[in-house]
Amino acid sequence: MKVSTLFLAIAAAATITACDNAPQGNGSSGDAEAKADFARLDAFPSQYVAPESAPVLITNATVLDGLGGLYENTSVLLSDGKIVAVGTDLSAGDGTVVIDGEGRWVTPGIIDVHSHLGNYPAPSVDSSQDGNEMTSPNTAGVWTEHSVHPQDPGFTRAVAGGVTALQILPGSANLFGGRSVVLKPIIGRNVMEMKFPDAPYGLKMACGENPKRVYGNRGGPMTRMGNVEGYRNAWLAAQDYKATWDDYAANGGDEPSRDLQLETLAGVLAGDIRIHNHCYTAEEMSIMIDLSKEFDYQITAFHHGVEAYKIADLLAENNIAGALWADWWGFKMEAYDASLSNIALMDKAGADAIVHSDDDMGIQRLNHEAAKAMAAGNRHGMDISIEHAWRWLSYNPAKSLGLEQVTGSLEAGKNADVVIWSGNPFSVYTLADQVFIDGAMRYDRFDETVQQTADFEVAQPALEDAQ
Amino acid sequence: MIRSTLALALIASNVAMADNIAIINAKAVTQSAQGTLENATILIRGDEITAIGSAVNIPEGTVVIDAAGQYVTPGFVGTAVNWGSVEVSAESSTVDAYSDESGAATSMQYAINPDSTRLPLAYRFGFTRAIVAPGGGSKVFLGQAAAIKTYGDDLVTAADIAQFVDVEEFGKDVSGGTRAALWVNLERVMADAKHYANNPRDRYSNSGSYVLSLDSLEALQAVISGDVPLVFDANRMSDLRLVMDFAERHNLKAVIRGGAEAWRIADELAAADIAVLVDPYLNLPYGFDQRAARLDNAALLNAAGVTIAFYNGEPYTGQTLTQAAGLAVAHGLPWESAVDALTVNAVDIFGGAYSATLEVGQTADVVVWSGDPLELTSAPTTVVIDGEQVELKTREEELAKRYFDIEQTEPFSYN
Repeated sequence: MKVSTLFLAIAAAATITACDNAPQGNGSSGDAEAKADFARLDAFPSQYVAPESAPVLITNATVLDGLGGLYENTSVLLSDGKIVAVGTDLSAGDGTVVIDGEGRWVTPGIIDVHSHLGNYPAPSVDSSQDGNEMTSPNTAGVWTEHSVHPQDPGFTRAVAGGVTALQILPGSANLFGGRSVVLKPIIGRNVMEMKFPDAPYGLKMACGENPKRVYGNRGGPMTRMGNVEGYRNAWLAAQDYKATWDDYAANGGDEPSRDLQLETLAGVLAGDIRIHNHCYTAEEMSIMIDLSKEFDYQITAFHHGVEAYKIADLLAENNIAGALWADWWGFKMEAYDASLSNIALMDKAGADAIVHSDDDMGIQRLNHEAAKAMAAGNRHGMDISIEHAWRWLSYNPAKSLGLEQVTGSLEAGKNADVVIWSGNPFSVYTLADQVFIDGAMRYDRFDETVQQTADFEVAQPALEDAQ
Repeated sequence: MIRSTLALALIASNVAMADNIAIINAKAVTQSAQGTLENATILIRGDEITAIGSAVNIPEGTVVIDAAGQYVTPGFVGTAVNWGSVEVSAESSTVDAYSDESGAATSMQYAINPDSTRLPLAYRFGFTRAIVAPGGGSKVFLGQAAAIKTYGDDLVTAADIAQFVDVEEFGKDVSGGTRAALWVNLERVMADAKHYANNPRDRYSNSGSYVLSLDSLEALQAVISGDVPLVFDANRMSDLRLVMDFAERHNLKAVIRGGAEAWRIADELAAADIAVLVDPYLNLPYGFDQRAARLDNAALLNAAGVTIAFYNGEPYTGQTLTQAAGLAVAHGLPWESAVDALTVNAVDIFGGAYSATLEVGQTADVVVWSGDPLELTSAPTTVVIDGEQVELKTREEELAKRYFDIEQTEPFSYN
């Protein structure tokens, strides 16, 4: 996708000003027992409302539970927005909608941890390229939710591809790109109506070529060592900021002044904000791991990680996931050593592999991308099953977002985020038939009244032709 | 997949030239009048298919490859790809995919490097041939495509087999910002090209009054004579109609690349015999010219009788294109038509000596698959190009092997 620069920089600067005037979150105001609130989850709280829906019993399907299990001729019962049971002997109560799953497959909804839907929306016009605040190498203070255009038609296509949750990230121009936001792909009137309730925030960091390219002639960094100096200086400042606020939270006194950039960084050091780190090469990922040890924070996931297979043991040992493509490569030098077995080799080493998209086309068929990744591994003599590979699509992503307790697998009590597929979802011919989010059917391939349309697509002559 | 020991030995030594090859127990998708043959034997001698059928006598000394009942197809053709002309897209020193200067005269035959690490990812996934097209630049006319095979020392099989022109957003931008100028310029170029055809001495005496360079006018001679297709980058319906009018007025062999809204006027395109290189992934309004993009575009065009092939900006591997074909099938395109689009349609559109069929007397580009060629978990097990069995070795697979045992303590640089 094309990225234009000057105009969006001005637009985003205006957004920051607006943030400064926003009401304060629930600050600690002298409570000696309180922990400093760096995450500020209450600042733009989720207004997502899970809809009321009748219980649903999907019968006689092939079920992937998302944890490595495959169950044939099995039923799945959804009620009150939750998964009630997966089994062979489930009965429908009064008012239950029964769906015949004969010949079809049922899986947990797909979760994409790397999307730019909304902050690089379609149509891809200059006025709405809001994903990269390319004004400074450290823009940890921006929150990408303030760039999300909810009416991106891409959300509708993502649901049709079986996606039930997605993380929107700022772009990778900056060392610190800003906060991510986790959304449900149901178009709201504003981003708050789409926010996944209680999802932790992430912070986008970026290694390598992109920050060098953007800032090399604009004051730096212009080298990889300059990148690392930038990270370290930022974390040093964040340590001071955190200490000041922790002291205030514990001992009271004059309230320190807030700084949005340092607040987000301190939230990482406090363990409340998760690091999602764009990083391609083995050597840079390794340095980022040591950096995280120097400043005592956890890297949740490396994104793109084209060379993750070269350090898969290191990633496993440090409990860092790899959010990876099946076969993207060669578009820049740091993507030259790609292997189609990257995901499989991560998995083999015991690290959490995630299939991610970073793309409004890829997000529509992440199951197909997983199939290619599985096949590549199996051509090397691995024996990866479909039921195991599905972990890359829902459970591992949920875990990297801190949401594995509520979604990502078909277990009783979890959110009823469920997809019914027309067949084996690793076949190129298979499509999502129905998609449920929190128990409500949000997409039905056979019923246009259960298909979203973005405002942009309303009353467009070109689209009306479709009828 | 069972190979004879002889075949294995040949793979190991990477020398399979000049051997006769028999592929047995094939589900042969011949792409000819013979249709699909079960339990077929395909006999290859030299660079040709010399026999195909159920009762083929296999001469002594022939390398026998058992397809074990699996699909065997002609080598697929990548249409309007950059294979061989690009190594790393963002490193300009490795990119020969387009010219900012020479426009129509750009001739991709000179841009092909047989050592490109992208080419093995084409034949590894069944693409033995490609139409390598210019992919950008700064002129309305992008230049001329080359037909290549994807393996060998000398890859170019036909030069300058199609000309490319952008008549949408990019084309209007480089024409001063409006279609109102773009099409006036194109009319002038056509007039110039025809004038130049009749005034060959202008080559040395008169260049001042032509819009384009003399080299460009030279290159456009094959377009105005109808000998090679002019491929228009166009998506919106009104642009497609402008292309149809223009092609009819100047008696051109027109092809559409993109055609997001082509399904809306599929009947008109079929009547005008204009083929479409369609991107089966495209279903989002990336711009105002693609508002009616939809996943069944290929199916609707095919049903109306339009000749289609597949196009995808920068396919990472051949599999990007077989996946595209499978996706088109998922959205209504008959499987057989999808395979046509990967084989014979590409030949219909662009010509070239390669037939993309399994027929006696035709060039032996033959691919044995582990399963349905369009499926995501399938891949070729044997690839023959010009009669030569090709080692299925890619850089990405060698790197995976290098780090396969990640626990090793010795430096990986000794692997």
